[in-house]
Amino acid sequence: MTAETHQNRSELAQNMDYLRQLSPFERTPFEIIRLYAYIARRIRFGQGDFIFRQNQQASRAYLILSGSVVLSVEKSGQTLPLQVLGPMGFFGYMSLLACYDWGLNAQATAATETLSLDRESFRKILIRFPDQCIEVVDSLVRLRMQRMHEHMETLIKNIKDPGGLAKLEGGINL
Amino acid sequence: MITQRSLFYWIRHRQRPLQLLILALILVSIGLRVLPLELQKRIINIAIELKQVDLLLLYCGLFLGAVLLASLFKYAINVLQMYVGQKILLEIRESLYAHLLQLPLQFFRRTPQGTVISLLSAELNAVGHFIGGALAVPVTSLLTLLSFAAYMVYLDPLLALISLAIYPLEIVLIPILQRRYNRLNAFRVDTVREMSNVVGEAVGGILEIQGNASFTLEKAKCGRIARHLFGLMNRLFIYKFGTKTLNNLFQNLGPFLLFLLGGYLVIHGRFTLGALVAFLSAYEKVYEPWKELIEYYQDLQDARVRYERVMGYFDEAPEFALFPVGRAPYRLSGRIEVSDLSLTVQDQIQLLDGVSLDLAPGQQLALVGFSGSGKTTLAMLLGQLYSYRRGHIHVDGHELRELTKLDVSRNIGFVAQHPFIFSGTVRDNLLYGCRALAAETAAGGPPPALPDARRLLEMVVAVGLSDDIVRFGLNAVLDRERCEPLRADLLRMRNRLHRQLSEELGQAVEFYNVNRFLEHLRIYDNLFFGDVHDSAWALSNLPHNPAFGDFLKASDLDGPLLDLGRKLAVETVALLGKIGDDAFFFASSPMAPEEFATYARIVRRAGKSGPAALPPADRMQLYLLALRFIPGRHKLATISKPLAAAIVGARQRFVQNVGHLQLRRCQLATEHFLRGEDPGPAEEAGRNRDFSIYCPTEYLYSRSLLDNLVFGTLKAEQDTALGELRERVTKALAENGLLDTVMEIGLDFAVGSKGDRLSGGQRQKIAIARALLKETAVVILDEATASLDNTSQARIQDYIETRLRGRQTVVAVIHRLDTARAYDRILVLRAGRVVEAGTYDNLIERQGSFYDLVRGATT
Repeated sequence: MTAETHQNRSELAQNMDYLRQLSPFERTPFEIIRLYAYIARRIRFGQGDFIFRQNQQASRAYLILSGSVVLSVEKSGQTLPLQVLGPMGFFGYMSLLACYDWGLNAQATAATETLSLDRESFRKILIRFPDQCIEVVDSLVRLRMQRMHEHMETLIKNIKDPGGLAKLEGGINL
Repeated sequence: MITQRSLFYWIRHRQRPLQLLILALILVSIGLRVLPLELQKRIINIAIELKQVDLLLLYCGLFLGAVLLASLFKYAINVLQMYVGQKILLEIRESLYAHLLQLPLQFFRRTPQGTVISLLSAELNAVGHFIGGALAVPVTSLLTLLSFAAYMVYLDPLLALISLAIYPLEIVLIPILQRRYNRLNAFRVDTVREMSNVVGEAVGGILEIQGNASFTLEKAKCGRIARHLFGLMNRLFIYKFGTKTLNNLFQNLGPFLLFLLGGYLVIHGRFTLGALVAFLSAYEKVYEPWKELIEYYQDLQDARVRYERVMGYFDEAPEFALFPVGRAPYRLSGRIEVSDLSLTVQDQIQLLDGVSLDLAPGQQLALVGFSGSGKTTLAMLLGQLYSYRRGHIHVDGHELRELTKLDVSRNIGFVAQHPFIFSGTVRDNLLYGCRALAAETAAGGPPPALPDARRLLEMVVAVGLSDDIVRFGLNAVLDRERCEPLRADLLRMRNRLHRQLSEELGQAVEFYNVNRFLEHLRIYDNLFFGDVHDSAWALSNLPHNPAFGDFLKASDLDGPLLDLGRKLAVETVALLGKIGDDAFFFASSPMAPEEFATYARIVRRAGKSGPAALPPADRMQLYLLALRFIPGRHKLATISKPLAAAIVGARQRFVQNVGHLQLRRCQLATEHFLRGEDPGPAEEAGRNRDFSIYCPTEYLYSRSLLDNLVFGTLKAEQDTALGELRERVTKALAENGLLDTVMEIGLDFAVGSKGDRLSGGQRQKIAIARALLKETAVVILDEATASLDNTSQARIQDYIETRLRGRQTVVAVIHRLDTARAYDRILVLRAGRVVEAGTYDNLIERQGSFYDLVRGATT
């Protein structure tokens, strides 16, 4: 999309284009995607800004439009980076489904613009259009499981003492 | 007690002078009603018979005069009657309401809110209507009846006797029917109420009904009652109309007899024609007071039934006395002794069993236990919110159940788990307890002084509300009066902030720049770029301002804005068509939810013929939509560069030609300001009040305090930058001694109905502050910090520990067991009994119930 056409398209139309490219929304009906695009907010972060931190209350999902974000986990004073996401990277989406505390940090490694969806609006749309939205819920959960596997692989590669896994208290909450 | 007074008590004992006046007026008016009858007779017998025109004129004139005067008197009587009725009703309502407020909590638990409301409003209204005429109507009717009857006897005793003989029959028959009617009416009232409850319950439990598909069951439930009601109503009407029909019958029997006998007498010369006419008139006029008496009798029964139903419902004695008699309210030190306290409800459920504890003044007790263990019950008892019969609670040696409400309010502060926040300002809610105390104590000596501003702010900080209050203050839009003492300081702050923070500000804020199009302002604000005080140019009035239409045309904006409005309408209607009127979704659109239907209609019309062909009213609606559009917030459309330039051009034209303001001066000031230089002297107040311009030298009264300080609007997408910005601004305000002022402004924030503009945490903090401000000897907290985040909980816990220890006795039902460490003693409850008591360390060592609870919480 060139800068000119970009300028003449409303933010709503631009948001719809972005969301369409994400796997959970691939098969979502037009009028639902349009609603998501409508409730979505553009949020900008400077380099080094935290988008969210571990143990804060989770309430928003983020899609990176430009820039990059590192996801990391902190335990006993150690910070372990798990993944770096660039444009079209989608994270924090489980907060759309439930209220919990973040188990990860997300920090911008460069000036970053994101498109963000919040749980309250997502739920209101879900309640109004349950049949159309339940597929989105399924896709989000599948996406989560996939990413969890990727994170587990990263962690396992980094454990120096595999036998010590059994002694870890409570497991790691990702 | 008010609920024991009969209906007629009020009539006998209230508004006596006025009632006597009404009676006097009635007596005079009766005379005025009998007079026309005599005049009728004379007109026929004398004036017409003797063909005397001047007498005719005289008698007719007097007739008219009497009739007019009679109606004037009737008018006065009616008005006074209603006044008296409403006045008495007012008193009944106020006394009943005062009584209601003191009823035990159990009453409110078992009584649906709707019932209380309908009893106090609708049912009492009917009673009030009756009360006004309660004495006047029967007296008037009776006296009228007697006077007409007397006149009839005066004309011809035999005829009068015969025609009046019919009435005694009515006196016997009608009341019998009436009594049956009343009984059925009482059943009807109960049945209607039962039906409302059933329907209400069905709606509330609709999930269960649909889940269990119990449609037949529920239909049967309601059907039974509806059919019963049907039967009752039928019988009611049979009696009601039966009574009326009988009355009618008797009424027509009379004239028949009169014509027969009276005619016979006139034919035989024993009665004059005039007298017969007068007699007939009198007879007919007797009907009305008679009918009024019967109706009065029915109304009386109805009103009595309603009144007794209402009073019966509230006929419960308050558990505690309200005011101390013969002494001032106690000032207690907060020593609490509970011995063998037990509470059973509904004769079976034991909430507390033999609880005992001792607290010295200033000590702090934590109540912990499993759910259902009786912790809240104990807290409520200690706060005199429940009453008890077995066991004792002594506060400073006084039995708690014998203390009056005023004693308790002064000495015990209670914070509920789910506090109620009244509509009003934050300040109103914070001072609620203190104000209540001041209002009640007025009679018994000097009232305690209300906390001053400094104390209020201290408490706000202590409970962790200061950030919220600062935010409310920064978001406040100040009027001229409020702002005047601060204006100079605020403008200085603005310049200082800009110099110190221009880079951070630039990222998060879009500055008011008279030379640029601003994405975060409405098109309306972009065009007029200032405060508009001339109402003709206010947004809602623009459709009616022809100068506005001319202005748009002259600036070549009419076409583009109409187009923009149409686009916004089309997009919004398509997007939110199925959402209904959920205000939440309309927040990101320039359309209000209640306007949706209008715009849907306009879109349909425009779809067929194009926007230019729309009627002017519809076109104006589209212009309004376009004017409310904020490009940076509403995502449905964009403003092209040429359009933006045209708008800025139009703005500059408006400022100079319509506003007659100094554009050049403002442009220079803006340039200086943005460069971090002094923009120039502030505008003198009072110049051209109709319009002003967003100039760095002026305070912008239509924008919030924060907008004024940063001289721009915040860009919504800069979430983190916003938070930091607010912190910087707050710090700068503190450094310049303006923070307290901003917080004072923040305290005037209107919290909405039931505090719905506040978050749960904010409501809780206000409730805690409210109780602490009373500075009572005892403070009871029932899981008061349960829904607060960890930082706030810790802060309040810290306050309790450090500031209240040794000064106020604290009893806290706690949820988070690690906070129990700070308390002097811990009481562990299970199934209403105290199972363990001691300090934190003692109880952990003992490895008993408390230890289990603590362990259970962490694994």
